[in-house]
Amino acid sequence: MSLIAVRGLSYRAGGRMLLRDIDLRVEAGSLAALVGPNGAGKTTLMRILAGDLTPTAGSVLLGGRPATGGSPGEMARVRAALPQTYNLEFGFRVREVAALGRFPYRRGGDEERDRRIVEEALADAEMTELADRPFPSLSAGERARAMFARVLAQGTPVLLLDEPTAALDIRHRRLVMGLAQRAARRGGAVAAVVHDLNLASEYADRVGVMNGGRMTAFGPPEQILRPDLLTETYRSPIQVIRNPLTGRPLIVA
Amino acid sequence: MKAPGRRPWNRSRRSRLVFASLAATAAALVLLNLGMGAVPISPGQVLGLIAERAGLDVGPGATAAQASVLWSIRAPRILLAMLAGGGLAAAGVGLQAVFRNPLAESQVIGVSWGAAAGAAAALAAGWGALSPLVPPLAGFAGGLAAALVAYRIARRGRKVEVVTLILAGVAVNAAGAAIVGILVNAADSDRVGSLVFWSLGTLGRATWETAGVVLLLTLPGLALLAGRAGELDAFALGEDEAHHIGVDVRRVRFAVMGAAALLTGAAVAAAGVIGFVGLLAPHAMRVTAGPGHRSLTWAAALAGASLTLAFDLAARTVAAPAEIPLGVLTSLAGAPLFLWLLAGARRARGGWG
Repeated sequence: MSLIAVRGLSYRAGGRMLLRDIDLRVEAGSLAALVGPNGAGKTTLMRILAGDLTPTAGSVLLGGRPATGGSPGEMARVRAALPQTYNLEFGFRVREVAALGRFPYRRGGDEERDRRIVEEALADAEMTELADRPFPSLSAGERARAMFARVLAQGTPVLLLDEPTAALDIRHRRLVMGLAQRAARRGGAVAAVVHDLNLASEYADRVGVMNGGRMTAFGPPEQILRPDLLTETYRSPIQVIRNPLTGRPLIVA
Repeated sequence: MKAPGRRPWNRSRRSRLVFASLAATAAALVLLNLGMGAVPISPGQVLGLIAERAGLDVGPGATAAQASVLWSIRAPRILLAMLAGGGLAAAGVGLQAVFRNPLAESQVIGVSWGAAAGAAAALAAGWGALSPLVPPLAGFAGGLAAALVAYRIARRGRKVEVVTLILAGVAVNAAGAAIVGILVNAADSDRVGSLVFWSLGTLGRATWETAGVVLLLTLPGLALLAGRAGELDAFALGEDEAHHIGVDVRRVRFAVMGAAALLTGAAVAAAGVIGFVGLLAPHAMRVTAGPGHRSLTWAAALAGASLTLAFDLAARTVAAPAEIPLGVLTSLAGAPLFLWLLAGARRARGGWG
């Protein structure tokens, strides 16, 4: 079953076509990485998936429901979104931020269970030790992991992650991508914008290449992460070898 | 009152301490306000008079004049001070949450003078005679209209440009103050003085009836805000992110503007424009009780009540026998904090651009 199903999606803003005729299906159990140069429309696509923007044409179904159709509470139990940039107002603590992920379940919720899920999410994101710190006092990477813990705590089948690894060191890049992969393995569908092509290669089940508002290629990493396709997409010479340890494509330039 | 710390779980001890201090401060200020003034009543006499009401005959006796001053002048004035201050502080908490900015406050975004125009119009038309509820409800209508105008201008999609909101508030306030000015001018010459004094903010007109009316309108406003604590927390993440976790951003914003207009309308109709209490109390409580709204809304309401009691005590006693308008004192204290917060916000954002 396609938890994320996009058909014929176009989006126009300010007289410009930002997205053209995009099709995208992410099955339950699968992590799809979206790659492509700056300005390709990746974030716009993620914002449409999250229901922030309404498409000009086409349909977006998450777990079978229109992305902008349901009530906010209903959609919050279907998908969680990690935005590319965030600006927390007021000095909430990390645990309070993560606990906001349980907001969709506040009615008739089991408080003890919510509490356990939040602590698990904090532990998974390696934020337990920083849980009592005010969010504004954290480094960029720590903030990203606090927000990621909030997304994990939401516990939805669909995860939409816009550059979840941008601010992270190598250990935490792997940690976050590993957690996203685990969420997929547990039956979810994950769409993640990733700039590090090797992370896409190692963790994604599908790679979507976006360029100029179109989805120019979509498929398993070994079919998509080819030197010719990447060189053309990024207009910069890119070599790909086989990673001797994992057998996956390894992008070397 | 709701047990603090229901979820975020680590706040309860600190919360209990904050609430205990707030309650003690409020109680002390109530006793001071009951005792101090043109007719002094000693703390012992104050307690004796209160005990007498409860059917106990203890403590030093007080004269009939003292009893009369305490029960028919000072007590209703204290109740009104606490309700108006608490309501304005809670309104500030709500507006600051949904507009994601510590500068948003009833007076700053135009609600106060909108409410003043509404209440003054109802008073000038003589509708106050219909029911004592009419002026505060007209204040509510005026305040809500002002909030909606400022919000419509500052809104962009799901987001609100706070600088535009504040500038729109300046214009809305100017219009509201102009309407009040016209009504004051048109009033009978013997009422001009009291109207001018009212518009500057004063608790001098407090009676049990005005305080009762404010109580009637303040309780639902407070309940509405307290019931939205989770939603108000969610706004801190951002409008889109609040929506992602299930908040109906538009609806909550309208509900909070409505509650803020109700609280402000009630306070303004009874006591005129008491500026910046909604800025001072929430700011102080965010620092001490933390930003979580489950505690913050009530903590700020209590702090606003105490703050207004303290300011009113100063208003009555500093220049005695003359009385300084309460709104003048709160603005004197609030304006520097506003400027300080503004400078901080500007620095943090690298200018408004």
